Amino acid sequence: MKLVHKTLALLAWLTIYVPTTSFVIFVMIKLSLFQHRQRRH
Amino acid sequence: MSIDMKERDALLRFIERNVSMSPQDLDEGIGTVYERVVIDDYFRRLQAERGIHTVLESPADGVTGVPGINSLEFARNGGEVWLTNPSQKMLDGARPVWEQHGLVDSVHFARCQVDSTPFDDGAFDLVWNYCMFERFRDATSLVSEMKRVSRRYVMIMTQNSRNFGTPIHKIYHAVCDLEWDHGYDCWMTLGAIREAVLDQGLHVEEEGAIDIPPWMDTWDMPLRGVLKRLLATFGQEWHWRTETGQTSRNSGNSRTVDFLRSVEMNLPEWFRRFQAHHLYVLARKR
Repeated sequence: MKLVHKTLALLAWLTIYVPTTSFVIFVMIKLSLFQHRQRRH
Repeated sequence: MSIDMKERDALLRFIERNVSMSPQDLDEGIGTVYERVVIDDYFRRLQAERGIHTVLESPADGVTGVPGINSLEFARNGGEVWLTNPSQKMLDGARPVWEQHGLVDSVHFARCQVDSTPFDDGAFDLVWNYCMFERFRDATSLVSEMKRVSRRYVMIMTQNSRNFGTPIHKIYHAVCDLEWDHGYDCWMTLGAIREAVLDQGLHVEEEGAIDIPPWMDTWDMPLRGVLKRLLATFGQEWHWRTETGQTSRNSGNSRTVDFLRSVEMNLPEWFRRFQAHHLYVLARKR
């Protein structure tokens, strides 16, 4: 039972992690580009 | 060996930069709210099980969230708290936070260096700090000072260099040409913290991983504003703050946070230590 709970928790964690992290990386890229543009001006 | 001037200056710059970015309305964003909820849970248990009445957070932190907020939970449960910091700006920023929570009578502030505090030997039940230990090449004098002023417990909580967010945050610093001001990777492991407390002759009581939400550790990146603006274009609000009392949609008591907590609690231990945003060791004086 414990193993089932742990496996389900791990699956749930990974399922949420992939889209949230992709979004965070996208925002980081946008922020970096914004900072670069600001520095150029 | 004492902490060198370059590292003291870097710490001061880091703290003051974060204080200037902290939200005045206590809107911390979901990441910090979640972190606060799981760490506060742990503190409540610690305080109840170990009879902790006096707490020193030295040096107190002021990361992306609200300055000086880390030790609030001890005061909420009847503890007396002291916060120290080399930055007066950070201490000045922390006072209104404690006032807003109605706990300013339970807190005392002291401006001092991290390894030279103005307190007597054995003055506190617990002496701890959060994401400070890893900032110094040699933290011996910091841990030794923590041990000196503690009557019973010393706790060190650090970032976790092994989670996926660390290399990505490093790339972000490099691309944006920002100074790396988060400390040394080699100290952000349980083994390094354990060794530091054992070197001081302390006995390890507990160690573990905490704050393992299903998103990348963004360290101190201020993403709140981006999400607020993005959701505002769809007519939605994005406002997260730690609250006690009634359940509300965007607070530490929300169903979302409850669900994420239950996921974290059931994760296998090897995975917790690998992906946790924070690691900690609680040690006791012999």
